Amino acid sequence: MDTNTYCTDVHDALSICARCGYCRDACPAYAASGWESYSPRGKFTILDSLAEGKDFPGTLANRVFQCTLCGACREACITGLDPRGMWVKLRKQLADRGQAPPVMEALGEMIMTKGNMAGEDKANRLLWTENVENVPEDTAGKKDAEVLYFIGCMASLYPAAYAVAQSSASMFLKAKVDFATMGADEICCGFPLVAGGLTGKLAEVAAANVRKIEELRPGRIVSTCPGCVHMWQHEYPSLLGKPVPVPVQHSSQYLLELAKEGRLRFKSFDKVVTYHDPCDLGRNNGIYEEPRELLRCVPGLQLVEMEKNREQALCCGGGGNLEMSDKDLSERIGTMKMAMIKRTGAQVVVTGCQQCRRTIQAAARREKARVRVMEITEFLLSVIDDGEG
Amino acid sequence: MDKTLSELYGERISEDWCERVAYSRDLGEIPAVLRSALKIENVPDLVARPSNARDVAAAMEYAKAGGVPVTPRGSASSGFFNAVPVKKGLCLDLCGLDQIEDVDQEAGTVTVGAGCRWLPLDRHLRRQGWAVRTYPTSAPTATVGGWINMEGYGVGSLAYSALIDQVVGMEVVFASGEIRWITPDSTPPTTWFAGSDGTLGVVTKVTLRIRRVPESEKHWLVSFADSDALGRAAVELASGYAGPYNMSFLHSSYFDLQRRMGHAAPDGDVLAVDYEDSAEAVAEGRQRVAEAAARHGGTILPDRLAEAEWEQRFRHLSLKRLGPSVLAAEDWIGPDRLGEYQAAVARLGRRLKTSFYTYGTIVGTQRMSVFTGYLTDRRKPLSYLIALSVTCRLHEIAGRLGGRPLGVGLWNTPYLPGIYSPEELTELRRRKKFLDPAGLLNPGKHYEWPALLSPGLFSLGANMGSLLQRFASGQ
Repeated sequence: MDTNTYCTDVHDALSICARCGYCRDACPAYAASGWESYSPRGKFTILDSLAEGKDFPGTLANRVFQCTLCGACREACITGLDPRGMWVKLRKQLADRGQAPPVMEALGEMIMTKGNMAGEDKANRLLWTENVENVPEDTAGKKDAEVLYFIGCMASLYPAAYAVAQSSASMFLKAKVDFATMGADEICCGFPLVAGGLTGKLAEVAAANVRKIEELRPGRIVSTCPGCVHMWQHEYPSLLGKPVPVPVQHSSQYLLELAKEGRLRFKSFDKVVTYHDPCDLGRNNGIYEEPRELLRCVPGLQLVEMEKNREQALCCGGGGNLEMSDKDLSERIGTMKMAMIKRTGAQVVVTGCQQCRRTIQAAARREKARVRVMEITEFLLSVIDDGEG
Repeated sequence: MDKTLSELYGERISEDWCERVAYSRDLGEIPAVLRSALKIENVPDLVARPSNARDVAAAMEYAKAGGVPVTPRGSASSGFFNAVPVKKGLCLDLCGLDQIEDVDQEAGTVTVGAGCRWLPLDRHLRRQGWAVRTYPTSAPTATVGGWINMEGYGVGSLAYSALIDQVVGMEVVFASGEIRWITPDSTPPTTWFAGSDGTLGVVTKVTLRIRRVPESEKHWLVSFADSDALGRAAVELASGYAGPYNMSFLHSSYFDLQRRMGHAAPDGDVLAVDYEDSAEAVAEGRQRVAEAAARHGGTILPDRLAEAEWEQRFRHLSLKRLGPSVLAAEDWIGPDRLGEYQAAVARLGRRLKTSFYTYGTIVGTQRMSVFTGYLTDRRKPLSYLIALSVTCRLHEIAGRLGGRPLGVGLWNTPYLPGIYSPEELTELRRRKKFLDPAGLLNPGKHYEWPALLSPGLFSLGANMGSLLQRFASGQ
């Protein structure tokens, strides 16, 4: 257990914080709640007051988890602080003290025992393949493939997100990509553990996934899940003290390469499309342009931007395990996102994340918005020109 | 909790300690020991988030009945405890009053809630071909109502004067609970509320004059060997017709710290000149800037530096990273005295072994703000307390040059005799008595100083502190 006081490892940051409030007005949790205590500045002020000798209160513990970890605060901070990193550290300290929401503990237990966040049997990771034609039988566990498709828990275990995995596999097949999956041996990348404050268990998860990659020896890892990409690119190397043995890419980056090589071509799509930057792909991975460039490969497609995009993009409300700790707050953020999408006049909103797709789809249903919500691979498959008319 | 308020506000009112303490600070960093000595109770008992003027009126009725102090608060992006309670009570978070009504195309005005933030408002208007006339350098978070209650000078004030001059009318909730729409010609007039620190009434809605999005804009940086020449160039550019939209001043000491942050920065003392106007006027501006630079020995810096500095106009506080604390004095002086001001600051720095950095905004031929800061570290309480006294020396420099502190709040109350003449102060106190006889609104601010901050005692303490600063400074 971490025996530091709550404020010790954030002490310097509390002194550096200018309390200008720029983070507050960038924070989706603040915008949705209206209370200063939800904002990074508010939490800093409370933490700073605790440093003067007060106990750590339950409201603040809640606020630390009532956050999407979207990282907008880090972009807004004029003194260069990383509040998102602080929230991750604080979540761990709270979890160590049993002050995390109980659902986080249950989530951790599930990931460590079942290897996925859905609590499913590992054999179910292959169910999504049943509706995809022509997937070679040896795809799962195939060695020395050009690409290892790391699917992630959502796209492989949640039927509503199967379309993302199925679209990716279909795209790979159409582009004649020699690809493999880990099949039933894929285990959760550990991203939900980070958000749950359960980082003590991460190294175990990382080691298991990296061992599998060393065994399969693919040319590269491609994932449709920004959280998985983040873990492989940024967390695993520091957790394991060594680089991941092969390059890791988000599917938008890889598909763009394929499009540029002429292995993917698209039909005309004469509609207005807007792109939602997933926080874990954009702010937390720095990938903004590749998805847009891909969309611009589609003839006739008119790409319009939301008033807040790229580094300033508004979160959809689905990050940071917020749905588990405060579903209502998550939905209110989703509603704000949907209002922003509607203001663009777009007929389709495309995003690079299966979780954002799910959250925005839910917001669209609630708001009765006449806008189609699609993950980028799913969208591209719908407009692919494969010569079959 | 009061039942009426509780029923009216629902989830928008709280007695929770976390909610309350989140409203107990602003940018100012005041050690707990000093707050305690001054008997400052900066954590409110109750926080409420009104969504309209009626909510505010109900809060005022509650306050009136129980003699409860009320602190109206926007984004608290100032540093003088202007929007922080000093006698606890009820804090009204007005940020939820952020609605923007349709632009009145004929009148060229927009009506907004007092909690509307400047940068989002400007972006909203620009999508319709309009723009705000002026805005503070804290525009990403500062509220319209908050800036009215400060003095309301900032970017664009050179062209459009103070914010209050752009206010056509505003809705105010008075201490009595009465809601009224006031204008520049009503009693009380809107002008009473400029820089009043929320002590006269709670501004809830404002109608502002706005401008068409300018056809063209261009930014220049002109580097001078000294601030004296820069001040003369600034006065020249600010004079006459078709002047710049905005001018700001960045002393070489500011760039020294930018370089310490790892950023590229120009040499010399720099005048930033911003034109936003017709293409023809901007072209003429180019000529005027070139002439002023030539006449006063300035060098026009590359465009990319000027564009980068313009983009940084909301981020001057980034230097705090180097502190981690910053203390500062902000004053009004005449641009023609800028050279003398900088020379005096340099002398003070040598005497106190303290490195200062300065930047400012020119708002007219007679007036510019100068923000002179110095890095310190609040984690070392004794040296931080000593360093606090240095602000007094900086204000004295400005005072000797005919200047005065900018803003009052709580922390500038010891300078009240320098900020206002006796007649002005009497008049301000009369207005307060007239509009808020029970002294419910933001008590402890603007009109009186706490006993320990009485000007004589404060000056004595500051002198002693400055003496110690020479030895405490580790530089």
